[in-house]
Amino acid sequence: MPGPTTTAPVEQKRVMDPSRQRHGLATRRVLCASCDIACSVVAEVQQGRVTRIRSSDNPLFRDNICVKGVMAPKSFAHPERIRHPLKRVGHRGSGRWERVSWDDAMADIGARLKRIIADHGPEAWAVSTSQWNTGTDHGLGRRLMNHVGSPNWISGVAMCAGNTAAINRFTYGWYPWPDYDNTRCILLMGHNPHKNSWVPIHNAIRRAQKNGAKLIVVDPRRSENAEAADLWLAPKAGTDGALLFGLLRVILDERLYDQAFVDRWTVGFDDLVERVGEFPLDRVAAITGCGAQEIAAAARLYATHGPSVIPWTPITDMQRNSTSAIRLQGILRAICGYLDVPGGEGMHGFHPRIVPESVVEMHEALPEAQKAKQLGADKYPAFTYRGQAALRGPARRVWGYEYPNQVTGCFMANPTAVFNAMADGDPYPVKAFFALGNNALLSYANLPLIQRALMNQDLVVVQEHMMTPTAQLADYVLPGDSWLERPWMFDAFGWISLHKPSQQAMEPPGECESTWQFWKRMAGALDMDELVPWDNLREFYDWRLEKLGIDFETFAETYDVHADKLEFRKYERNGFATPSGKVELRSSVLEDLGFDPLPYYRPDPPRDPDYPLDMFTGVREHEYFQTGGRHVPELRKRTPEPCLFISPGTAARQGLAAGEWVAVETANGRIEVMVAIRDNMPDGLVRVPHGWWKPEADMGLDGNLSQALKLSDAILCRDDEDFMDREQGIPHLKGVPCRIVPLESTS
Amino acid sequence: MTAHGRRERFARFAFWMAKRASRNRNPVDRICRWILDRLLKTEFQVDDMVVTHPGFDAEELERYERGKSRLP
Repeated sequence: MPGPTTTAPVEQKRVMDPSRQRHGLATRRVLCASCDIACSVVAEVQQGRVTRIRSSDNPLFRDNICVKGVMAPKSFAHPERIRHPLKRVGHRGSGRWERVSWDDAMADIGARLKRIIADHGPEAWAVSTSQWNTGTDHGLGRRLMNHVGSPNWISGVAMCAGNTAAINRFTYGWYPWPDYDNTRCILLMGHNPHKNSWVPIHNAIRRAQKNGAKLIVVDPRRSENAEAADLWLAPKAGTDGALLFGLLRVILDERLYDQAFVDRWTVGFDDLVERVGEFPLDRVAAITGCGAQEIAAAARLYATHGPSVIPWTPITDMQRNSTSAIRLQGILRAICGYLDVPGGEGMHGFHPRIVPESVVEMHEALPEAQKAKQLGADKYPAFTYRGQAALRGPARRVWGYEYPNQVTGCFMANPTAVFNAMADGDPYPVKAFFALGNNALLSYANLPLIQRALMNQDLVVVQEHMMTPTAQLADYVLPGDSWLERPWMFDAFGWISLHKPSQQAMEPPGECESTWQFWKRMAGALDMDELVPWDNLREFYDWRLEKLGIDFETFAETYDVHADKLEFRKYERNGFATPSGKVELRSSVLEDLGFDPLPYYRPDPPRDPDYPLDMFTGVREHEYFQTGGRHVPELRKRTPEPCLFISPGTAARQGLAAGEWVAVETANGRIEVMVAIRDNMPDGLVRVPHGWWKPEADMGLDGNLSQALKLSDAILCRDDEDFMDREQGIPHLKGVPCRIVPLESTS
Repeated sequence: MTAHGRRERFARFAFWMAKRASRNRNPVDRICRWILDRLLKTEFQVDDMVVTHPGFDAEELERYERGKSRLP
């Protein structure tokens, strides 16, 4: 069967090979950054080089490891890895480069950026990063941008956890983290942690189940977690908001909520009841395709078998009704009394003695006039400075900081607005774009727009490991180090108050440097050396840890994970970090921004008969994370081509066979993929793989940017009004109308 | 003590144990790790490649790194 599998037996016995234990090797405790969950693993070092990644010796982190981590030593040794600064010598996208020194590159980048700022203002500089890739950015980029005067920072977290954090703050002022260790019920909405993706969460869920917790899975596909669930609901893709209204309806009608908590700690309950009244179960069933009895059973299980948790899900982040659906999840957590209790949703706040990245970022340094220029803030303000402004005072009161930038997603520009400004100068020109550890071209909706945006820049700077399609359109490509080659301190993106150190296991190859070092160089190039007064990363960590009375090296030697004391129901001291100090079921922030203060459900636009199927994207193969990893031979052998997953019924109706190459088309564009038939897929829904390009293919525009222009799902993803969330302006990726066209019948 | 109070106390104790186990420096830390090691034993699903991969040879990786490149 072509393509990767999507299901596997839940019970799988392992036979550990004793010969795997290799004694007498130097080892370093490191955090894997092959994805964004930062697994604690061990690096074995021989001849100054990491030769194996294995599971941690700490029982807390046992088996938190996947194929991407195991293959990391090979990944970072790839012959095509960028090891020296490169400067473009042909036209943009020509694929022709010359090697230059770091000093020459940074001097030229600094001079050109200064010129752009002088001509167009500091807001003409935009930066896109993925902090999990760069690792050591640690907020230095924002710090520099804030002092220069640019608010235009974007990231993939705009539609993946960062936006969730920002929207959660509207309801109760913090984005909580589930207490898997003590929970009794898990409601998993579409996210499917498995043995090669978000492994610690996969393991935590399995452990919770073993301890008696119930698992409710909401997923159109019969995923690995659906197979392991006590209750599986399979809604139509993209209807999470309606389903959540159904759950609430049952909980309210049957009075299954925590009356005392609601009375004492919420505002807007009567308004909520009225809004939920618009969603009788037969209406919810009609929208979602789930049975009314199933919905009622899930609601009762969640509300009565608690404390329950609703873990983060990227699925709700990427829908037309994302803001409302995220709010509905928050409302469920709150009215059932699960906030900040054991087994519920922990609201940790910041570590009292470790400097958080939110402080490093210095958002207070960006003048209000520049904050007001943040792209997208006028129309889609939810996660921008404007959208979060009303929470500044409450955040200071409760959490001690005015700008708690949880998951780096609370003060972002809107990506689509940034790309429009880059491409067309509307509402003002953006002429310099930095992409750090971020293959921007393939990482947001509407690739054709992003390509046009990049082609219209005066300066594009990329820091990367490999010559990605985005890098191929740059002026400078700078070599980045990897998680094996640097010290690192992971702060869980400010989501939970845990800090995990990572020891440097080997020297970086060539002239590869950390993103931290890049920003230090950049501060120098902009005559702002004083903004980065630390000589190196270790000194910076020492400063952050100073109040603990420990330096970083000792910290890393001593702890696998460090946390302060655990406290519950902290809201009883200072209230919630919202304007009212309570859980805002009716959001005053959204109301003041001109939006519906209550969650609502916006139906699909009328179906275009030319596109009879629905597609979803955003799901990763086991072997890859985002757009990375296709250069690793062992991983590529397992998943060599981008595969379209369709049900046997859909395949039969479309006359398609497994292994056949087809085109998938939406109103936005067209890509080519190979058909893979999966019986866990529902009829009418197709899954398009995320992030495909082929590192071995010809580079430059003549080579279709290593085939990205033929294979990337970002080509299909729409960013027009009907397919954007109203408050955030993020794209709907779960249920986009599409069609499948056999390749021989297309031109 | 209420059920909620018991749950809070248990969660705090488990968290304390986890922190000590993670530090693993003195006898109390090591006892905590020993206890957690037994309590947390679960047969998780692990990919075959994770289970069976023997690691790389340092010289093999170096040869691989020096392979043909299209970049300057």
